[in-house]
Amino acid sequence: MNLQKYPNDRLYYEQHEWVKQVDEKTVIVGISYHAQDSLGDIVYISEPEVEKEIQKGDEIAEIESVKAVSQIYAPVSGRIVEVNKNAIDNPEIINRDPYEEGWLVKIELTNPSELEELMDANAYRSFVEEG
Amino acid sequence: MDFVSHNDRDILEMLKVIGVDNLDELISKTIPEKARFYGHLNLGKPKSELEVVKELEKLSRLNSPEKGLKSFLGAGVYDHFIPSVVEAVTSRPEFFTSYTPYQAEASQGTLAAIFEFQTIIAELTGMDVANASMYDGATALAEAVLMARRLSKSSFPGKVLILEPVHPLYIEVTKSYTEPHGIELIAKKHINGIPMLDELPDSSDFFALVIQQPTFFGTIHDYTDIIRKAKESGILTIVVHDPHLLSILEPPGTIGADICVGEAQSFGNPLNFGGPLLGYFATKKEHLRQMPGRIVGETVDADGNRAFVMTLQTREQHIRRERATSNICTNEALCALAATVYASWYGPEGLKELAKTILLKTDYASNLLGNLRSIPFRGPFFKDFVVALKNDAEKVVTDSIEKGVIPGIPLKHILKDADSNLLMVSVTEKNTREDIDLLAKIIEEVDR
Amino acid sequence: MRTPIIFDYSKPGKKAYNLPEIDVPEKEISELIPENLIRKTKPRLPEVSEFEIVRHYHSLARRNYAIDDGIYPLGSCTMKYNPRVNERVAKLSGFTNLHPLTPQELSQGALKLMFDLGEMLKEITGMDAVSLAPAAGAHGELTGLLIMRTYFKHKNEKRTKVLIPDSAHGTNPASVMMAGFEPIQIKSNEDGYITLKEVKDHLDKDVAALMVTNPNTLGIFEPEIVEIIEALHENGSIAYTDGANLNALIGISRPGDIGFDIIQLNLHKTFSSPHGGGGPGSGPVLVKEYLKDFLPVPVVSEKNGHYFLDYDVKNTCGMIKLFYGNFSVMIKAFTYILMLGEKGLVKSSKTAILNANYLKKKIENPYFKNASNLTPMHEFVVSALPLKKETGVRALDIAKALLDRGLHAPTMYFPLIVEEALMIEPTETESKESLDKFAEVIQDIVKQALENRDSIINTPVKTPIKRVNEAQASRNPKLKWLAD
Repeated sequence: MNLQKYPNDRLYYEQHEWVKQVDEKTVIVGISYHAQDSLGDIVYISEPEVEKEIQKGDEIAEIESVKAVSQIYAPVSGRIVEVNKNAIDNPEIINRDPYEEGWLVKIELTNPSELEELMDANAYRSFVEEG
Repeated sequence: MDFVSHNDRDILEMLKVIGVDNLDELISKTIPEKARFYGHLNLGKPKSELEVVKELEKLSRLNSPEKGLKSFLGAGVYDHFIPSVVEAVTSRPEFFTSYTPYQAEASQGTLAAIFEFQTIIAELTGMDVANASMYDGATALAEAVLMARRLSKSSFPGKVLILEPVHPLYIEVTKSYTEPHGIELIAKKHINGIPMLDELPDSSDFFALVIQQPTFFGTIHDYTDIIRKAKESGILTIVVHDPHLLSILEPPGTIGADICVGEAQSFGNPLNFGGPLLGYFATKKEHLRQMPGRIVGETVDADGNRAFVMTLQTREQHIRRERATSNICTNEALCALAATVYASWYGPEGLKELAKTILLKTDYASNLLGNLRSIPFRGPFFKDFVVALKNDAEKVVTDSIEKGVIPGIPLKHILKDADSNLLMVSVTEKNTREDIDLLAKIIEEVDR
Repeated sequence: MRTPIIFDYSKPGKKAYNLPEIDVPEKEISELIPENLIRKTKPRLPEVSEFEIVRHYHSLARRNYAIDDGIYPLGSCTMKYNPRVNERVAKLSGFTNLHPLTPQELSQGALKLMFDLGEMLKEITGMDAVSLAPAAGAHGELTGLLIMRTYFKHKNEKRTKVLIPDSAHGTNPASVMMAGFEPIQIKSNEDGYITLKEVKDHLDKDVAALMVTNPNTLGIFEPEIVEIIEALHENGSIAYTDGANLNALIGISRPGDIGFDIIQLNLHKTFSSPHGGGGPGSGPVLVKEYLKDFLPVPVVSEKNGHYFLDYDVKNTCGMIKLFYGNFSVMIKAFTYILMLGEKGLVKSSKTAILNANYLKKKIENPYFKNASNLTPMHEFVVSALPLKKETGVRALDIAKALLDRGLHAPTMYFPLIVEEALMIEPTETESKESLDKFAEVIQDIVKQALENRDSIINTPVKTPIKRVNEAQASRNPKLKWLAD
């Protein structure tokens, strides 16, 4: 499969989450190609709480591979309005398709200006590849 | 004597490869001079195997099993018959000289056996899942309380209700594990040996309820209502259960308990002066991710064949470190193997018949002694029961030993505030009617 | 090949058990136990014949690699030969059939053995007092930390933090949490050890202790440890050492002499008792005189040639296990120490160092990088990162290729500070021929990786099963047998 590692249609957070705007006030969030690749086979994601108010940088879920655990952080502040049950129940989707089918949560923004603090695809690529 | 496999020439060749002249030169490169030890260790000269075996045999002979005494000791650790196949399996070096099964492809034997053990424990307790073992029943209880703490949303640090009579040593150990976290253990006093099953405390601080079946006094009770009430109040129930009794009683999983733990030494493991023991730990599927200890799961290999592997390891210390569900690493794997072979040998029918035998023998012994002296707590009893003697129990024990029987344990040796005339007597299938009759006769003679 | 389980043979009506006739008055269970408490569904336990049991476990045994098969070089696990004399004496009836609540005058042999073992361990470590109660190394760590906790509480000092090097075993931070402290990570330098400066940067009045494995998980004796211990003591903190790697030290350095206050040992590593496929172990804790009153109860004491269980420990941290510890493991360790004596034990430690350094030399190649430039003691770590960069073959693949060649793999991916780590501890009981064979196989695997990487990546194929699918096990947990 020809998977794009850094799609241009979204923004990136330093903890390796991506953010894609759905409308003015809503975004969907997932983890980047790089994040899933360094974890390896993803086997479990704890279910984020719908309706939970979150601040940028809060831990929203835990994600596990066979031999590692890592945290998913909120790239923006807001309220979780939807969780991708399909990805929670079939976490291998995130390895297969981290950017579309493998999205994780939908967040209603409290502070849309935070989007300006995130990286674009090019900035994120150099953040990953040049450390 | 030592178990090094080199001759002198090997050592010289190896030193040459490393590039040093002698062993001491190598050692001095590995450690700062000021940390070196140049004294002598006062450990004696090496000994031959012949001398060592003689010395150990001498020590063994100083202990009661080599003195031909009949014994009625129990209180949590029991002398059951062990079928010959158990030792035949656990003596296989493929099992006892292997390490933790980290490399699944070269450890299917150990992994399959642990999977069988988990199945047997889950089936007996009526729970969904069991782990690969804990150090003993008491640490299993302590870890169960810590797990309940993680599961509960009640306010921190919170309280645990212990429905007495629960084994005092289990409470002691649990206290050591929970004290650092500020968790309070609140014991609800029994009345004449009967646990107070009526009401739960009206406080949202409690996150767990601990009960024991049979109780520390060997008595069997109906906990169905209290478990239901606990569930209604959002309190998690932890049951400490004798494994033999699980084959005749409705199991904790079926009556709504959240965690079931206990001591499974009695399944195929000798007394060994109290160690190693074998803690078991079982719970409901929904609590799985908070369970401590190793777990083996079924999967497939590259060819799609059934295989077993340690799984859900992200709960454990080697991956999650300070956020792990426990620090436990080495457990009691070989003892779990013994328990697995034991349960396979007995099977469901055999275990039930065995439990019935024990129940009848305990009934017989408690009735017989009850006719001679009083029995302060009411049965039905399983394995253990308490007799009120006329005299100090310690003296009765000493005098009975003179006559060839260890009649039991003075209760106050374990339960500090117990009356000194109380004796805990324990029975297994190994005690014949003749032994029990002899016990009664001796008690009558020495307790005047 | 599919791995069998005992349930595969199970059929209703088959049986292995037999019991004597009941010799007391026969009653129904329901005459003794209220009907509503009686179990309604029978547990699905195996129903098999005795011969099927014997064949099944024989077949499972053959699917295990054990130290009796060959080298088992797991780092920090000390997989040495398990002398058969240990097994023989541990099975003496006076030990196996001894109940822990036997009146003490009838368990003098067991109590003397425990007391003498404690004295031996004190002599080996240079410590002053001992508890034999912990059941395993991690249990010993927890016990040591509870001792520490009780000590500071007694002194009315609120110390909350324990410093731990980043190369530490996971049990260390996990034990620290269980004992109610907060672990603070100390960074190792590029040679894999902790410096006095790094420790001092983290020292303040909140620090209860430093917990350090020495030699550390790279096999390096911490070069600045004497100075670090001094700094800890000046700060009123405790120096705790994890004795997992004591096999490097007997007669070479005594932890107590260089200032450590607490150590926990692993009798199933250093002192030759077998690992049993994951236990039982035994993890005694030893302390300096000033911590003696905080040990768990009971301790074994002696007075006028009489041995007894002493519950009179003034400020005890409590009881940490039912009864007195894993006695049968203690018998094996005692027998081992008795047989080897000073001379044999010191020779064993020195040979462990010789074997590790020899093997390190023999497996050198351009595709492995040493994790440290210092000379290791009983174990060493290499990074297979260069090989991965060159060929895509990972440490995991090397491990599986070793299994295919009839040898056991080293510990992999640990310590965490080394990428693609292989952590190798051969122990003193491996012969030169065994070490040569292991090195030869490693060199061959590297060569194969360079020539035909797929031949390594597709291993193992000769083991009882092929490479196991770990992701599937975690995604869809099947943790017990379910009847079809």
